[in-house]
Amino acid sequence: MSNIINEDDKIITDRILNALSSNNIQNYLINTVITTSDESFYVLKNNVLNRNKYTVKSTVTIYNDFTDKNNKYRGSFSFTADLNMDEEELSSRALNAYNSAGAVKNPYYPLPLGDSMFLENNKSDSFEIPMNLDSSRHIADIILGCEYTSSVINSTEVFVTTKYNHTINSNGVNVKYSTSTYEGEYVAQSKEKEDVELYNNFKFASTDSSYEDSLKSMVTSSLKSVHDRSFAVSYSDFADNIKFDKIILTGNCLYDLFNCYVSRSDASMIYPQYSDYSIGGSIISDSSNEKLSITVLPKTPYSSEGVKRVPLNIIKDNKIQYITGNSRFSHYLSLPATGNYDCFSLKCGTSSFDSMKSGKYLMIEHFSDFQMDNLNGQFGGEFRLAYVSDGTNVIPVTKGSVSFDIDKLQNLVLSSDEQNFYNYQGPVAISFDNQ
Amino acid sequence: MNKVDNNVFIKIKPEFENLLTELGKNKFFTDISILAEKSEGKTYRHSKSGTSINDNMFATTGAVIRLTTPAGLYEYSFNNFSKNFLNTIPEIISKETGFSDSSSNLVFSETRIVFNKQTDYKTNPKDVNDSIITTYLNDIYNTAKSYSEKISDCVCVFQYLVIHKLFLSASKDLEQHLMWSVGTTTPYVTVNGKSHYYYKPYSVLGGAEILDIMNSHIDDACKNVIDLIDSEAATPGTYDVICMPDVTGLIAHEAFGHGVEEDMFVKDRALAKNYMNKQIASSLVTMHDNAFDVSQAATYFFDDEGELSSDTVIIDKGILVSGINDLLSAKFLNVPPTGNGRRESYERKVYTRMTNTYFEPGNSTLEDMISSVKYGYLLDNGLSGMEDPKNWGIQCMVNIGREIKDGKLTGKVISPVCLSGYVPDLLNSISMVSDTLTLSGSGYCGKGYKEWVKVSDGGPAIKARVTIS
Repeated sequence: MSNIINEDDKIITDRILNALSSNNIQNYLINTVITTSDESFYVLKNNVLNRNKYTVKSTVTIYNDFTDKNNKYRGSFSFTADLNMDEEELSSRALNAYNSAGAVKNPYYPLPLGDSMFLENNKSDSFEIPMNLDSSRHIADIILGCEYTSSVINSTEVFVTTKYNHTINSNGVNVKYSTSTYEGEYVAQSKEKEDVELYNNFKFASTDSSYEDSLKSMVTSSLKSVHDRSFAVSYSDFADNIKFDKIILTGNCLYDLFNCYVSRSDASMIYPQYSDYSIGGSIISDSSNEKLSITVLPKTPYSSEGVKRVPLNIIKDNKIQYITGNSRFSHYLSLPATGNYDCFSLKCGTSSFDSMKSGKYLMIEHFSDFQMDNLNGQFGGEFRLAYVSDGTNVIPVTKGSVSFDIDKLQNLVLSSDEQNFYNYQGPVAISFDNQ
Repeated sequence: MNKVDNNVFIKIKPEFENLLTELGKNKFFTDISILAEKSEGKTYRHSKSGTSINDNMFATTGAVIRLTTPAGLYEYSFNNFSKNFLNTIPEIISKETGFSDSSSNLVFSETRIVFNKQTDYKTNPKDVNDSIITTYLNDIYNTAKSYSEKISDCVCVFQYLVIHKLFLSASKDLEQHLMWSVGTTTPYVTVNGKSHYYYKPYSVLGGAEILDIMNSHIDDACKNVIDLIDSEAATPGTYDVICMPDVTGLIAHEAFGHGVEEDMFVKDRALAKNYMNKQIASSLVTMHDNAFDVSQAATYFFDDEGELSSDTVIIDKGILVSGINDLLSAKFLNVPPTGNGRRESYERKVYTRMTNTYFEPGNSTLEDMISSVKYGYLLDNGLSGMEDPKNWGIQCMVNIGREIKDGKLTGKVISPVCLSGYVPDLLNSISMVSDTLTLSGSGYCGKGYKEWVKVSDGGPAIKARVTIS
């Protein structure tokens, strides 16, 4: 497998470079991704399908620089190349791409700079092949082995995927790396009272040595949640009877919620003025709220443009410290390119999760489809499982709907307890005043 | 009208036939099929951020082999069609499945179904210079910007995809060559730090002829987004509503269509299974899923399992009469296949998926429908939704609600509008259905949060009673 992957990478890279050279194309970016996967699908405990995949694809971006009325422009066009394309076809595609790029009139921006003398990845010319990956069936066994009362796992899908990335540009970038992940989804079902289900997904880096324990904990928690959902009553039965002091949010929605700040801190939002964030500025937050500190985390060592990515504390105690972005939009804002990020950590607060669950509250654990409008700050949606407390009793509820504005939250509290997902490390829960 | 090119597989088909034969030599491999696809197209985008042209993100080339072994179903996806690589595939699959043999022979059916079909288009986008298309989008952008100084941006997109698929098995040799084009114009306003937008879609089973339509409706989109500036939050409650066709389509697709995908019946995850041949909607409601004889973006001749497409009547005058299925679900449930087995691409497995989903038109006019509402809303610009086949819950997001009082629009606008509730309650409350039919195929449908396939939905305007918040 190692030989095939490295050979195919070399074949496609050489063909593309030759095609570019034959057309005298000076400015380009080549992103080759070779993907292998092992996949398993289950209905209840029955293995209904197994799949494997091997694909080689290169995204080739051609840049066309031109001037118009003394202004410099850079157009670009990206196409996908594969091993079925010989040099002649690639040459034709490259030339067409160059011409198409000429119809794209964007202000000039530089490409990331690399050192073509050395390859990264420990100065090796070969991909590092991951050893001892767990199989998709092993991971499915973990999921299907979890129990909680009579809750069951209705269906399971597991994907063990390795991606071998090779990025080259005309500015000397030449980097290789590989990443392997265990991911998938499962549906927890309970028929204890009502026949109900809750959808869940998961993702772990294969290098996460504690993933098995994390997955077991996650699945067992899901089985408990769906058990509760089976007994949940309609939220509308409580909506008028209890005036909640606070709202508590927990679970996956916290990623989407706080990703709003990551999104607003990106040059692609700032340049067209969808976001007014700037370095040194502050995020909108009531003085009663706990201060936010967010660090974006790279899950791959380089961006798709070949920019080396590092953890960046983009927001510290509500103050904006960094603006992230690709080479184009960062240049337009006179900032260094950092690459884009979709994983982050949020610094936890000082209140334990247990202490947050006091008084009259609505705690939402599972949304049908959590909606977060990064532009306007509105968030919410229909929930499938929440808990209502009147100060004494806690009752599971379902079929309610909420809507809030992240920029108008008051008394925002972050739990000291932490949860770790692939793309989010941060408080297991937050609470804020019910307005 | 022109026909989409149908010669794409001439060179590679013999190689795949050979691969099929080679796989057939393994006595442990049965029900062998190969699906090959080659899709190409571009996406053009212009907005305040600038211009971009790229390959359509769904442009792809690859193939998937599916077969059954004594251990169960197996698939192998790949995108290298060279002879050298194809020759290695039987051994790869033998190794992965644990079944090796070469004692058998594939027997081709004497009544092997063979066809090669194409859809039509007027203007091939490949024949239109890129700069003409970007100029078109730039002109729409400028028209939007000049409509009002309050318009801060207008995202203009045109994309097309030419899809070539080849399905081979012992009993089928099928080719289809399709083209769809989609446009969207989305003007934005930003006032006091808050942004609103209005998403206006266009779609055809065809080519660049759609560009002419896009320009003629931009003023309408701009007017709608300006109306959103003074929008208020919805007061939660249950109301009489008139749903414009795109919202009707959202309901048909999200609230009901997902609920009758029969792979969910197999998993006991769909309430609809218990309601076959029962009244679940008003008698005014007839709903279709139709990939067969509707000209829209999700039309095809055969699905990704080689099953011929069909027009499936799902609800007939209020009675639930059929679901939609993929081949394996159909076999498990012992029902006729409906040709709805679809993959996001050769890289992903088959699921039961919708195609063009819509309610049939009725007899009322939109004006009469609005006039009939004492107090309620006209709902327009459906945005998204999430399925709940297990409990038949509705969650749909709509951009605009226009207040109706005593049969007249008052000018008050609410936004956003979240529709929730129980699907049969909504469907049974439908009391009027307009006399026009509009479908829109600008978007993609996910199964949960993945497995994206092209769909269209729509219908007439409907009057119903819904819970909004």
